[in-house]
Amino acid sequence: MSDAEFFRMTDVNKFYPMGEEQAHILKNVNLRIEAGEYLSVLGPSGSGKSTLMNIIGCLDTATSGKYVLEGQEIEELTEVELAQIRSGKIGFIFQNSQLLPRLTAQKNVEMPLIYAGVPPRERKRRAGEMLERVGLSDRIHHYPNQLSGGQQQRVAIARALVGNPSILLADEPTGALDQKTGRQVMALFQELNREGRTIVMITHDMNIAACARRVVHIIDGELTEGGEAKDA
Amino acid sequence: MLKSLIMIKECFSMSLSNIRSNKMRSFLTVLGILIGVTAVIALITTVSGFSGTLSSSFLRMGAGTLTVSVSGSDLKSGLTAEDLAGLTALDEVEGVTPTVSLRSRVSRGGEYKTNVSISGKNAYYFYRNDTAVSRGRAIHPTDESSSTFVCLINQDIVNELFFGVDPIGENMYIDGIPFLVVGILADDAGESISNIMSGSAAILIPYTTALKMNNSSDVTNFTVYLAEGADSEAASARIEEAMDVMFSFEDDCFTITSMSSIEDTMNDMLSMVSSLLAGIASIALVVGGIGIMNMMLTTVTERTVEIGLKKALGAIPWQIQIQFLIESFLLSMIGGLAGVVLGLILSFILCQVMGSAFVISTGAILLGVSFSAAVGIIFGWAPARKASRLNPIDALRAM
Repeated sequence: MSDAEFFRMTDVNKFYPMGEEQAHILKNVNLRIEAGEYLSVLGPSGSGKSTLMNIIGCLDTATSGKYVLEGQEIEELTEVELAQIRSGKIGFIFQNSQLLPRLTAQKNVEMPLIYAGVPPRERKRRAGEMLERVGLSDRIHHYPNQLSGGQQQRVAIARALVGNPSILLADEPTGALDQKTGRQVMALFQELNREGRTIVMITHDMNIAACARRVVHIIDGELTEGGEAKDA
Repeated sequence: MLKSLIMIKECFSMSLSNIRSNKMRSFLTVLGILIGVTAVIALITTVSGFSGTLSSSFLRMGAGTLTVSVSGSDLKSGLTAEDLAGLTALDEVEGVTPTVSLRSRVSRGGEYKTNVSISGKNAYYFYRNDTAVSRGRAIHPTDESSSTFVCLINQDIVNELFFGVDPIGENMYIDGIPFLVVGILADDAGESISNIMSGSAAILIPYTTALKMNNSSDVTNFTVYLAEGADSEAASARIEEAMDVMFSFEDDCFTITSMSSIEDTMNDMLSMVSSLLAGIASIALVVGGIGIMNMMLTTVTERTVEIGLKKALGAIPWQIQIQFLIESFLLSMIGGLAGVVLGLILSFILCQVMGSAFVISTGAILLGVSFSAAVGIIFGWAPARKASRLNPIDALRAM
């Protein structure tokens, strides 16, 4: 473990108000990731894994504890600074791809660049490149409803990658896909990881989790190391 | 700065596609603004066209004239011929035409007519109103100086007393006195302002004759024709001065009315009425704004996931806010521009119907457009703010 540290969570706790009481979602989570790692967080629904992902992705902040992302302490940042970190460092992939239905594949991929203020020509070029990278260069001008589930998810991956983020955060990326398409997406993830991309994937599916190089388990908000997974 | 411009430009095209994708709902939403702007534009344009027509007809009727009406004092009840000559001699005055009104029974042979309105005029009146006489001759200065018994009659009197006879050269009786008919009055001889004020007279006679019939030597109503280029205010002041002397500086002996003062009052009234109506119409704009606000709030709720997603993709709150603001602005502007077009069409039709001039008022268009822009921004503000403040976690959880 001599590689550069990518992020470190120290004693992270997260409480959510649930009526009168405070639900304790994350309990003293400690997690450290190095650049270039491929980690999957395995846990059943309600285990707090989505909350963990939100904190990693700077969509949410911890109630207590420390989260340092590439040397930056996240707790102290304002909403705007968090948005800038999301824009520059993090690529999200959601379960249902979450493409905007009224925009073409290309425009969907351009979306993060629009908020980052990238000029139209460069946006177009980079979106085109990314769609080519995920094997959809012939679907650039299709709308989401003209694409299959797997293709939609690949557009979403292209969208996550277009801003050249340091980390890819995927929440159940194969949840809405059939097995075959799911395997294709996983193959793409492994390829991206081999290219040096740091990936954190959240899933409840043991088989999918096994595609990662390292697996941690989360149950009832408590994180346990699952050891090195097989290098697929 | 450039980055913001890039994003804002993109927001416009995204908003347009959102508006287009929900055509029916967008249409119903902008309907309030559309109706409001249409009403405001139509009202302002129509009223300004109407007042333009009104003031041009005022101008035709009485530009360069003053009307004086004398109530008199205990010592002096009106102006004598010498007084009038004195006024005519003023630099600002070109001429004076007195109006001496009386009502009387007129007859010829067995035919008669009672309570006919008769007006005494001078020769100068006919000089200024050269279309007043359709046939025959006008009243001459000699008629005036020697108070001859001649008269000009209008078509009504011709029809009633001179059926089948050419009246010119015939005699008729006014109050039992024989008069020689010398001319026929044109139908629209009443277009002068003094006639409008006193009602059009059926018979015109020399004013000196009319004074005698009234057993008076005083003129109490007359119109002053101003010299060319004379300022009506200044002339009015000069006449007042001169008449003050005639009435030995007694107060409240006469009033001088200029056409421009009447026109000013009229215009004041019209603009008051039009701003009142526009105020009422702008209630529709406010209602329209509430419609937009309601629609935008619904949209924000509907697009919760989209907002959360955009935030996850790195959108800063103000970027979300500006996007929704642009959408409500565009909605409102679409309604506003359509309202401008519709309002102009409507007022064009109204002006045609009323026969007044159709003048496109840029002020009204600017008002309509800027008002709808303001409505879009003001009523879009709260929904846009709500969208920008959505917690991305809650927004994403909805998916």
